[in-house]
Amino acid sequence: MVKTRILVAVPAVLAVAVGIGWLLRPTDEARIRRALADLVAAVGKDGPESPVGAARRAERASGWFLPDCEVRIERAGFGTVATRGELRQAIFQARAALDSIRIGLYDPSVTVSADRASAVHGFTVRAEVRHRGDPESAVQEVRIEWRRTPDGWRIRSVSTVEGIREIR
Amino acid sequence: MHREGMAAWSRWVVGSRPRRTLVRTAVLAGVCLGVFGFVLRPVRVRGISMEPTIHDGAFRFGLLTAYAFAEPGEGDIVMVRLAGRSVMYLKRVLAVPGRRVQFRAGELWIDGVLRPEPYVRLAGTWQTEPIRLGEGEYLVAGDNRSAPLSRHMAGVTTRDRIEGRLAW
Repeated sequence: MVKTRILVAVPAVLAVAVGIGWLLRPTDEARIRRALADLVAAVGKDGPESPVGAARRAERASGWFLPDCEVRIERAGFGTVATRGELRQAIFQARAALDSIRIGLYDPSVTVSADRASAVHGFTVRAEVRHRGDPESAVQEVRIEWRRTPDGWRIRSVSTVEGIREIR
Repeated sequence: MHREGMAAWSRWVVGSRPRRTLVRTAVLAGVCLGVFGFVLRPVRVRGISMEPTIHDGAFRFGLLTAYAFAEPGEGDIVMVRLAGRSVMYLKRVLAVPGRRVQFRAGELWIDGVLRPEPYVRLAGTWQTEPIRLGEGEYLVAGDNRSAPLSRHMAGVTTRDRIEGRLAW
C-alpha cells in the first residue's frame, strides 16, 4: 500500500515541480532585460581603474554583441561602429578617457518577433559622465535589435531614435 | 493605561470609524494616481537648457491634457516624449507647422520676419539653413542658447511626441 502511494506521489511531485519550473522559467523578454542590465553594469565606471580592468570590462560589455554588430549614434558626431572589435576598442578608450560613467535606463519595452528569433528593444538612456572633473549628461532614445544565437540573445544593432530632429 | 494609550494611538491613525477612513484613503489614493498620472505630471527639471526661465533642479507640473482639444502654440513650453514619459525633453515651441524658420547669428526668423524672444537672456550665434516645417512638425529649442547648436538638443519634433505643456 505504502509502495503504491510512493509510486503515485513521486511522479506527481515531479510533475508539479516541472510545472512550477516551466511557469517560472525566464521569458525571452526577461533574458533580454537581464542581458542589457549586465551590459550597462559592464560599461559603468565609478572611479579610477587599471588598464587591465578597463580591458576586461570592455571585453565583457562587447561580449553581448554579435561579431558583425553595428552601433550608429547619430548625435554630436559620434558616428558608426561596425564590428565587435571596433566596439571593444571604443568602450576601452571611453573608459580610459572618462573619470566616471553612470547609465540609467527608462521606459524599456521589448518586442519579440513571432518566430522568437529576434527582438526589438526600445528605451531612453540617461548617461552621466565626468571628464576631468566636469560633469556632463545626455538623454537619448535608443533602439536595439537582438538576435537569438546558440549562446543566447546577442545585439545585432544599436541606433539612436530622433525625438527632436537636428537642424543645420 | 497601556491599553488606553494604544486606543488613543489607534484612533489617531484610523479615526473613530476605521472603515470610513479606509474608504477615504482609497479614494484619495485613486484621485492622486489619476491626477498625477494622467493630468498633472510632476516634473523635476535636470539640466540648464531652459535657463534662465527654468533652473536646473526646479520642480514643476506638466499639464498632460493641455493639447487634448488644442494644438501647441508658439511660445508654449512643452514636454517632448522619448521612449516613454519617465524622461522627457522640456523645450519651447518656436514655430508651428507651415512656418519657414531660420536662425541667423542667433536670431530667430519666422516667415522672413525677425521674431523677438524676450525669454532668451543667454543668446548665442546659432546659424541654420531656412527650412519649412511640414504638417505636424514643430520647431522646439531651449531658452539657453549659449551653447553651440551641435551641443544643444534643438530642432524639429512631431505632434505625436508633444505630451503636454508646462503648467507652472
